[in-house]
Amino acid sequence: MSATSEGARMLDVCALEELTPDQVYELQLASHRIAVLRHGDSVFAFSSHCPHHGGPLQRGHVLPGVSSSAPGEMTSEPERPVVVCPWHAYEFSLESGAAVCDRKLKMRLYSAEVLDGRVRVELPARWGSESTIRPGGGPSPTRG
Amino acid sequence: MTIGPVVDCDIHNVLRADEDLYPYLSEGWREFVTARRRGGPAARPLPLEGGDSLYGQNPQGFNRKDAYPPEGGPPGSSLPLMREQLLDPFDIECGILTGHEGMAVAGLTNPYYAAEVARALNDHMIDHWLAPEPRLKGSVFLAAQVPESAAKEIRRIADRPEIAQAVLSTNPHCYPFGHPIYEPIHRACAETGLPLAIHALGEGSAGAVTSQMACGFPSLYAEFHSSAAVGMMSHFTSFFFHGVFERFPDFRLILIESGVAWIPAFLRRLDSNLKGVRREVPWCRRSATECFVDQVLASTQPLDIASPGDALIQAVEAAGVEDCISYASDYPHWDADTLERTYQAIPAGWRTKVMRENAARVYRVPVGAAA
Repeated sequence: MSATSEGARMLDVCALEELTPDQVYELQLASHRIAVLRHGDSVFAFSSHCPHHGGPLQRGHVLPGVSSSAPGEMTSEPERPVVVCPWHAYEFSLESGAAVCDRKLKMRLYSAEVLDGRVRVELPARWGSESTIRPGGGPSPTRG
Repeated sequence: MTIGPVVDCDIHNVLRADEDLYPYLSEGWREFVTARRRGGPAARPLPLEGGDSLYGQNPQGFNRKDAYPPEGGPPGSSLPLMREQLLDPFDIECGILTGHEGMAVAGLTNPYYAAEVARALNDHMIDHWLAPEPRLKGSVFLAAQVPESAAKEIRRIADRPEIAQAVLSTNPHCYPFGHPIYEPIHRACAETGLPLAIHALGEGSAGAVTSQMACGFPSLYAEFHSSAAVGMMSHFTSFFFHGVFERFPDFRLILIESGVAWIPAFLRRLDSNLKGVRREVPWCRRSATECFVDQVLASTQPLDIASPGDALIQAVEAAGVEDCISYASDYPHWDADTLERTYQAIPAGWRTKVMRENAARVYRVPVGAAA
């Protein structure tokens, strides 16, 4: 744990190798819950509360982004992953937090990093430092 | 009350008799049509349309009873009477002909015959309606059985200044008109600059393989006629999700005879659904509402707004589609909307736009203040 911006600090969560790539995890601190995800060697942390209708984003799943240059054409964009809400299939960019189809709708992102093989997430200090992390209950990236 | 000048987006011109079209058929097709006459005194030539199986079941018919020309023929077949009953009193500066037989030509089972009849109807309309009456503009009637053939017909006459749009109504295929099977027609319209109109209720023609009622075929005229907007929702949905508006940014779609009050609620449903189904249709970059505002015009008739205080007006304005609405009379049908009734029912702020400006912009015709 180390201090960052006022009222926040970097919380040491776990070793990077403990996280299955593209599996969304639930990080619990007292009564607070967020979602944590490893994608390749990067980590992302975001609110577990979908800004659409409040769905549990920690139970969502990760997909590559998709784009199209013309009707009928599909391009997969694994470098632009999205998390999909399990309730209404809204997709949110892991880079910006914005819903793919509604830029005004954003999930909250938390700063996350990998330092010396450890996953660290910037969270409010008042949330405490006792944390647990476990698979969020959404689809497994390998078993669907 | 001064209302005009006015653009009327839906005026039905009708052949006085099938025989009037025969000079416009090639010799071979003329022989094809009339050969049965030689089969005996009771034999009749082939019809130019497959029949009005559903329309025929309305005991009141589907025309104004005062629109029968004194010189004979069906309502809509007399230019002098059209002038007297519609063009002059309504101050119509630009009236879009949508025909009658031409909307049903896609119901003919023989695609080659259908293409010949469509071409002949287009040429007949140019000679007998558009040449003598400069206030009228024509629609390209399409034998959509073979979309590539229909696209050729669009390109044949699209450059004529008296042609305003192409029109689809009867559906010869089992997909709504936005399906890529119709891409040649979409492309021809986009590339020639002609809007593509859909006239509701073509499903009533024999040969149509679809129903405008989403859950099954109507069995009563009352069901059929009351569900025009349902079919239009389906057509617009297909144009939107198949990405026709994205593929052709200059393409313009005109929805005729399905009213306007359904539009706000339906666009909101499409906008909402897109957010959840976007992965299937990533080419949909704009919302349905944005596509509608940018590329669609809807005719007022049958107007489902009762007065300027009608709560439905708030819904239309909330969707921001009041610039996408244009007056249509539907002359000479029984459910036609008079100019004054439409004018008085809509808010004062819409009137100039609905009566001429919105349509003049889409059809690119100089009308009144929009000139």
